[in-house]
Amino acid sequence: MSEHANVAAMLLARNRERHPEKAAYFCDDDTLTYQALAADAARFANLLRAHGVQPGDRVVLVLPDSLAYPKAFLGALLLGAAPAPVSADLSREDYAFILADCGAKALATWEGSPAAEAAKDVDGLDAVLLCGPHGPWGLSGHSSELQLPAMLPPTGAPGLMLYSSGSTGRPKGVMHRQEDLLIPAGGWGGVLGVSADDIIFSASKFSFAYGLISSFSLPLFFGAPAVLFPGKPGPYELFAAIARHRPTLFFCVPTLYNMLLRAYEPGAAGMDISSLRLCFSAGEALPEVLCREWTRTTGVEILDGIGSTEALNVFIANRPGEARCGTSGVLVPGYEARLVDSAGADVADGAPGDLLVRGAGVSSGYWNRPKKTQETILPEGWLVTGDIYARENGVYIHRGRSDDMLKVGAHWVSPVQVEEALRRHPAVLDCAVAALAVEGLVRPCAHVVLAPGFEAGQKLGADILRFARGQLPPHMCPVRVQFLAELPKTPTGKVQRFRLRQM
Amino acid sequence: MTMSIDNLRGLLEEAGVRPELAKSLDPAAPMLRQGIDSIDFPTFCALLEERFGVSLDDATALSLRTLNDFARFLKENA
Repeated sequence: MSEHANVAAMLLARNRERHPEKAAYFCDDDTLTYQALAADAARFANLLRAHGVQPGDRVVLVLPDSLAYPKAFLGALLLGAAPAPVSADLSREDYAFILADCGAKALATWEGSPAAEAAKDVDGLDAVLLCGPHGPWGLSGHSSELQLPAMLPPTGAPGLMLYSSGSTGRPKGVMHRQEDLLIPAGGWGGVLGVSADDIIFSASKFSFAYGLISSFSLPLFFGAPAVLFPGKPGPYELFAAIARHRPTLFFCVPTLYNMLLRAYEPGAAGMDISSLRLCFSAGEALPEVLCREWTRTTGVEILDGIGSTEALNVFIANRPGEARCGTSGVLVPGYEARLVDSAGADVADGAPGDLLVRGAGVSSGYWNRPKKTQETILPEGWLVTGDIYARENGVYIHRGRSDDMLKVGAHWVSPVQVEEALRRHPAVLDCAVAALAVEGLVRPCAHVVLAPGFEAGQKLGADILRFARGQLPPHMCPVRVQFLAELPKTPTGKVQRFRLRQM
Repeated sequence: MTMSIDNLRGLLEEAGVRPELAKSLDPAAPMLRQGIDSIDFPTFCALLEERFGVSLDDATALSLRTLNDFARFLKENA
């Protein structure tokens, strides 16, 4: 057993004692108080237990950001089970893979979701809990007091799991301890100066590490209410939610900041952002121009930072009042970093190197992937991020990736998956996908070798773009097709995607 | 370079925007308010950069909202 107390029980008790009637969460027209959150989280734990869920079991959550989410997440934690929040935008095939991969004991999702469909074919998945916006049907029939004291996961079992895209396209489970959820509050939350007077709104969803920390750890640790936004975050919808709920802290990603800035008309109806004291950006590097223009146009400071699912979450960030656009900022307290060359030796200040980070919240490893764990989490706890950085006087500046993975709209994109989809187009003999900078942001670009009988041209390029849109989720769709006579390859025939990057 | 609004509608179609949406856009209203989404916009921008040799990563480009804005930008920069 861990020496730590159950994190959910601690967070709930602290807020219930301090301000039971204060709002913990806002969602659309609904408000959930800390008292009600504690009661429903206990009900959820009792419900899971009634379905046979035990400490250490995985409970997969596939839900929109709604009041049901924190209840389900806390309920699983109270039981010592490992909640595994998974994006609500995946395909049935992806859910089938994840549910089987983690050996899910229970799934919380909405009726008719692709995850619910996938669950029908998964062995050992005993409980599919169909949820509305407030939680699963029948939740109120369970006691609001825990029937057993809050439990801890068995030794060695994960406290929670997050799924992250892998280079082959197969997602991998990133394991964390319950107590890892608290580390960002002390470090990153301190950097941001979060207090109980804040209202927090994250456009990044609960199922992403960045969203989980912003919508769960920071709010519950500091007693600051959070806004949950269940829909697809478009710029006008986000402005409307900000005007309505009046958050003080806004967490979002560069592609959405770009769209928000394009949509922003100061003084226009539904665009009152005067409540915001600070904006934060993570998920991919924030372009310098976007950073400056955001602050100039809105009058609200924006801080860029970098985190990862494995590090849970932000380990380098700008500081309020000291933002340096075009940089990721300085180390967050609690983390250490090294920049190393290919031999593992530290590089000089100003020189690019592979970023390694270390800190108490770093993942204990990937679920059932010992080789991948060994490659990514080095002896002595150093996490290989795959990002290339330069450091100048303690400030970190992003210089790209050391592998072929693309970070598009804060989602990991494996070129392999996009290439597989494009090869299904009859004109595509071979292809490689690499990064292209558009407005300073990374987008996938398809480099295509045509099959015999097809002629390169604007019409065919547009046809391939449209074809990709029918096959792939939005962030994976190429924004440009470039025709090549042949792809750059090594003597052994491996495609050299890095030669195709246009950054 | 002078680009007519109809030329720009053609480029939107080339960028994968549904023809009926491209044809119906009000050139004076924000494109994002009319159904142009988070993939259409960068694809359209990437096409303009490629076709006209312009750079869309500066402060001016970030303020382009309407088809009229883009037509004016290309006239002045391409």
